[in-house]
Amino acid sequence: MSGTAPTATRPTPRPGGASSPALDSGTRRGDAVFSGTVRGAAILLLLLMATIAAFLVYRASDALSANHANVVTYTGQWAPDDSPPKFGIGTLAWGTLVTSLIAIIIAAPVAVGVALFITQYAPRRLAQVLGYIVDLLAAVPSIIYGLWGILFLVPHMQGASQTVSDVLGWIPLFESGVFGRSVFTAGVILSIMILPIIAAISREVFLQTPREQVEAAYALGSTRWEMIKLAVLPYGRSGVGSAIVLGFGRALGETVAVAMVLSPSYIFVTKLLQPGGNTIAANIALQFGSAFTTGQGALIASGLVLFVVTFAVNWLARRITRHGGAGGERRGLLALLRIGGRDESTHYESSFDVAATSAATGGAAATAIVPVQEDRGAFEAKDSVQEVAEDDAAGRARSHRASRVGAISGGVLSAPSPQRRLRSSLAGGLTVATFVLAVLPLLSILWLVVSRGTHALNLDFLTHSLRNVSEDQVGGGVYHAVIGTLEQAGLATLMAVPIGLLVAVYLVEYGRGALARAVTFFVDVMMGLPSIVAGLFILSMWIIGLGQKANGFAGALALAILMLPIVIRSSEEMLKLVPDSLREASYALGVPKWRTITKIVIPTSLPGIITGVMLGVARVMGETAPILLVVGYISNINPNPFSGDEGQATLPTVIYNTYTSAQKASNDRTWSAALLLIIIIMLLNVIARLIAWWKKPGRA
Amino acid sequence: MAKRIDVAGLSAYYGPTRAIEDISMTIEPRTVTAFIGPSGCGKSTFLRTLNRMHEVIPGARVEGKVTLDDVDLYGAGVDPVAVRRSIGMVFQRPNPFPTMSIYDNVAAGLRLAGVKKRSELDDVVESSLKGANLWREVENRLKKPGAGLSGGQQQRLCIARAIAVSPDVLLMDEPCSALDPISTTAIEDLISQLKSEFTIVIVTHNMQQAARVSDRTAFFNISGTGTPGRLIEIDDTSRIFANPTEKATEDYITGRFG
Repeated sequence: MSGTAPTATRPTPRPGGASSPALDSGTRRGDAVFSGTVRGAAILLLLLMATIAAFLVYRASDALSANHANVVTYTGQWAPDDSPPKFGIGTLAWGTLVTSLIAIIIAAPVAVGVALFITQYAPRRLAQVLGYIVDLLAAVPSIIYGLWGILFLVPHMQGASQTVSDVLGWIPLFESGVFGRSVFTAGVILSIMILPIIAAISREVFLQTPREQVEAAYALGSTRWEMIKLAVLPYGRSGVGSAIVLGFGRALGETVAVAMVLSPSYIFVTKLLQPGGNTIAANIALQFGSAFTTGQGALIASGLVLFVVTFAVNWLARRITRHGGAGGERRGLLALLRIGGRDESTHYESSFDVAATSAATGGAAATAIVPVQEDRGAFEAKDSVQEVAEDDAAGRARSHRASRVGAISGGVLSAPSPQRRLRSSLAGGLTVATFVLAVLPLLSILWLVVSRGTHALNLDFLTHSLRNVSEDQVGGGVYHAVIGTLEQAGLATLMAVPIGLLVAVYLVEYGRGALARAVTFFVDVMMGLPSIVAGLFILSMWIIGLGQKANGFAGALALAILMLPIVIRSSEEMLKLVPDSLREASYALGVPKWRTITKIVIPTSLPGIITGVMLGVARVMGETAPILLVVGYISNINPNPFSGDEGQATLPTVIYNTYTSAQKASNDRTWSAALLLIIIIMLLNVIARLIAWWKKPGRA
Repeated sequence: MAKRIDVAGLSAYYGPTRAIEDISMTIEPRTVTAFIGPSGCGKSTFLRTLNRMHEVIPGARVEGKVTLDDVDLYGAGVDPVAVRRSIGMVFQRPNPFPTMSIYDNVAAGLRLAGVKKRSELDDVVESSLKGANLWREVENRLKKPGAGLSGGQQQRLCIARAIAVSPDVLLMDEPCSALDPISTTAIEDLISQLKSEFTIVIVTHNMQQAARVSDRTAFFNISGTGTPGRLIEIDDTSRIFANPTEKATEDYITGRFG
């Protein structure tokens, strides 16, 4: 007992506090109101999905029953508004499948290589920068890829197609192709588009490899590549698998880039390098402008097919993670244990002559006994003799430590055989190569957009519209489109963020049972929703169903549907990151649940939530496809998103409506609009990440 | 205002699994009661049933009776939030709220319970930090984040946070297991001071610690993996460590435990 007087240590008793004998303090009403509100938001989300689905099916079934052709096998022109109406979805579905398969075959190995390079081989500082670059590339909107595809890739693809058909022409698949606008070109574009997403998810998965497994692998004397095979790949297998499937789903739903690159035809494409083919999403974008009632219904029907297919694919991706996650981890551990036994018996010989070990051995020992680093993140173990030699001081320190450990254990620190080191270096080199391969087209895009976009980008460009500006005229600008982009994205944010945050709180803090499962399920469905289908939702329900106008607000509704799952999912993840110990600390102070959530949980995760919202805004700002369907394009200024049928321009739709021009003045404006769009989106991304970094809890 | 806790026939479950079985004991006011026993014997689970934190875990439930000076904590109409306001808790790892300053951390319980008056908050923060032997170390940086303190200081901050709401009972779940020996000594000294005001229950894996700080010691055990934990005996600490009634207790204390 110290001398402190008991009365001095006692905090002032509070009225209404613990001392009251009755333990019913009436906090339950606040909890009831709060949980009712978040549950209400969750139910609202379900009702919304149900309504939308009902309208879609209703519209589609009308057109399908009017169709005079076999909807699966018909290969004639898309003519749902003729009498009798004729259209087939089979060729479109086939084209969608083929382009996406080409994309995934190219993108998957490259993306995994990129992720391995970033997480395992690049020095930590560089790895962080490269990680950010990949994230930013994932944010480049598809209209930009389309623009690059049609104005750069297609002309250059003719030579590449010729080469492929010269070499592989004996395979019917690759017969005589010289024309760039083929499904192969579309597949290549798609592969470039989905690569950053697959790489980003794989990177996250690899980074989460449990430290103990990595250390265990190194402790067995693995080279870096062996460690990757032992610990990183087994752990990440299911996550990477699901990333690849998600990328495939993304490719299935891509719209404008494919629509801009393909020269559409309604056949079952078998010659990949020859012009023609079409995809469901691209067909909707291309045919919508000229569609009447049955035509719209036919497009909605095809959108419904796309929706079901992407949904199935996303469901598959989730199943892979859910069932493979724990299993993959277990398998990795088992592999480690097996190797453990073998290594102990074969690789360690008995000798005490530690002092004689060369610098190379020191390096190997350093690899074997990786110094425990405080920071989370990529491991930096030295693989090759050169690396160790370069890092002289550190190397000495490590071999010193290694010799101590060696002396204690009485084993010999023998270097891995030259073959093992060579294999490790080769694997490292390969990942570097994939990274370069992945970055080249992206550099080309950025270079083109910047170099060509700066011609017309000036103050006039930001303050004038395109009203009465003809294609060959210099001048004019995108003021009207900037207004439209900001207003539509802003309205979408106002709608999506409150609902999204409430639903996320419901899922994390209250979600149990059937309702929570249903909400999680539908958020997943919305997450993989192709943006063109979101446009169709609003078209069928809001515009056709409820007779509302095609204006900026309709566009905002479509964008809100795309934003909701992003907000929900990112907020959910952030709320989950709040450790339960904080909730328990608050409960243990006698704080009711709803105040714990509003005062402790949400403030703790707020920076992350804001980051998620901003990334969502950046994503929907670049959307083209849904806006094409629900907002008419005009070239003059319309600041009112609620105005009747007047329409409203956005930056992506300006690009989409002007890229076909043969005039230099108009072309310059298109590229400048693209540059402006990229700048805005990149700024949002960078700010979002800065917030996340700046407000990270615990940053003193 | 320290109060007595009476537990009668208490069992706790995680889903279908029974974690502890049929525990009865009396915890005297103004004493330190230590819970010892092997890992997985249900000490922490039992501790968490005392302020209804157990039920925070999905699927967890409790059977039996816990009374705090004759009020049944699990009775109908008893709000778990109010129970926790009367029975505070300190956790194994220091868990200050990361978004809050040192001051805000200590004031958190009062603020969240609706106290707004600055002068009252100032008083309570100061007296609580003094009570937790932390005041002199932090009085010049009350506005700095609580996460910036050392582990031992953070734990004392968490104790200050817990006593700021003037609970009747203070539960401590291995409060020193994440701390170095010097910080541990500081917390142990603090426990000895606090017992003049609070009923203190401490779970510990460290038998020397139990011998040092507690007046009464309860020994928990399991008969095998998968079986629920039971209370073997509870007695004065001196007696438990010198001359326990049960053979199992003696085996555990002398280190002969399998």
